[in-house]
Amino acid sequence: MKEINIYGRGGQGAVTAAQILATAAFEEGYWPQTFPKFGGERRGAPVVAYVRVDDEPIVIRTKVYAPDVVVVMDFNLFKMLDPLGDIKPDGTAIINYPDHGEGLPSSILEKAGSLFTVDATKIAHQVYGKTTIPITNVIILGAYCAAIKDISIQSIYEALPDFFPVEKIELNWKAAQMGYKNLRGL
Amino acid sequence: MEKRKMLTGNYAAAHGARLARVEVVPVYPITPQTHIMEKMAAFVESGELDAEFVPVESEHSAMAVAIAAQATGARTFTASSSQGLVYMHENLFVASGLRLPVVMAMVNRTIGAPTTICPDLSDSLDQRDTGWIQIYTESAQEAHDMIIQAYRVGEDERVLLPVGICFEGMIISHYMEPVEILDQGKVDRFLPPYRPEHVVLDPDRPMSVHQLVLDDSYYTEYKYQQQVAMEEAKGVIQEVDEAFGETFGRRYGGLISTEMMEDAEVALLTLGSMAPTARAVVSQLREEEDMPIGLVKLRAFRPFPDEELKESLSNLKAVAVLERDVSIGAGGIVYLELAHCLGKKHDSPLLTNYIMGLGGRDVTFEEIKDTALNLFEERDAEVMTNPIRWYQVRGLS
Repeated sequence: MKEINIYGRGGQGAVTAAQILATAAFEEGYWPQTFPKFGGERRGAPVVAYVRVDDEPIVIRTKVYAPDVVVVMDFNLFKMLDPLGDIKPDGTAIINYPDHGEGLPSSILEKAGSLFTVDATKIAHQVYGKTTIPITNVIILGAYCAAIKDISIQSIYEALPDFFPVEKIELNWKAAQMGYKNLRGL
Repeated sequence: MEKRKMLTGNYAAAHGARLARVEVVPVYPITPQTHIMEKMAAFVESGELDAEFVPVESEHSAMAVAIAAQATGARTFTASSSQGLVYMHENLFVASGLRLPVVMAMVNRTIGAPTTICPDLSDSLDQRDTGWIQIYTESAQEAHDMIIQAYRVGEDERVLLPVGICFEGMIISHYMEPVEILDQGKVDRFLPPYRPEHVVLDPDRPMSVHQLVLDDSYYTEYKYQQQVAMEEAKGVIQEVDEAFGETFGRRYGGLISTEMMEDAEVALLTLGSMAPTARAVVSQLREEEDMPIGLVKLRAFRPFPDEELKESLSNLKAVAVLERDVSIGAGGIVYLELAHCLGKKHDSPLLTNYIMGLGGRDVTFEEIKDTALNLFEERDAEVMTNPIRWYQVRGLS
């Protein structure tokens, strides 16, 4: 079983990202489960959504305490909480961070077994235009597919109609592909 | 054909109501139930469901509309949680007293103060004396399937009682997982249209309903008939589960479900979302430690399955009741009922009660395992000391 924690801020679409990822995994024949950490929905507030993916139905109903993968959709979250605090020693982190990951603090670098960055904020501004809170969820899913390789980006595309109106599908597909192409391994 | 899809518990329940071809949906929004309301409104708007959607101004009115609609012979569905369910309270007695088989998704959430949107079972358990059947479920699939079973149970002429299908908010309502959406044709064969004879508000067939029964007239007999109906419901819940299994290939066990109880010396008893995690604990202790432990999942809380529980538990040494609720000043609500049911016979198992997970606090595999290991340590005691235990209250040494 693989466990994935997705951190974001209210409005960025972390819960939707988790649901798209789980739906894509489902399309590939896995038995996923996804759920948010329960809180009042407020714009800008930290949000975490959990995803489990397994080859058979998942019975357990508890939060994820030792994720294999942690996705951080907004770097400012590191000022408020410790998204990598419980990652498995050989776990993988995917972080929204500019400049090809240069200047990422060593305190963050040393926590994950492997670490990737993608400048999802910049891509979000390019694809969706300037929004108060950059919408980085589909972009970071593209990056996830490039980094983890267990879910194909094509399955993300196939999951999009469950979450977006028809006229937004191609825009989000472009965002996912840009996330995929702009992943940087550190 | 059945179709598997990623759904939350809320959406799975809404699909269940759609497949039951409900005709009137009066509902007022409250977290964590609101997605059910939204989905039902969407079904009506898109034409997928031919029903009257009634956006009322409160939960009290939602139940009033449900009662009136059901009394005209319409199949009615509503959903509520927490303060909303409590606000409906007085009308719940009316629905059951008039023998109207309304079905409601009771999406469990704490009752404030303090306020949280997170779950425990106190809101629906608090409705235990209203004459509603209550079934507790552990997954989106079970919620989906049980909404459909609920109509067949409630509308059975031996029963004619309203039914609440309960599932924990957030933990089931907001978990998204693969759910098999049942086939409409099969559901139609399993669940024929509601055609009541006992209460029908129809100008062409005048009938007096909800009369005043003063002095020494028949109030006692009305209540006694409800009690008889609730007793009858025990068999009907079992029958409907069997029929459901024959049609859809999936059974839940009726009033209770038991696992690994053969040769068990001790058992965990729980309900709702803790059941699957408890199942994983019991499996591990059986397989890896060879410990004689079993699991009883309480599905029906009303009617309370006293005979079934006695049969499953009487020969055990000890039972731990794990529950996400409390009656302040007494103990866990399920524990209290179980203690009453098993009585104080010399061969009754030792009972212990863990009040845990209140307000949505996560109940982990390790914590449930801890309660199971305690049970093994205490199973040969003369009496269970301090049986009612608030599990891991912070700030206590």
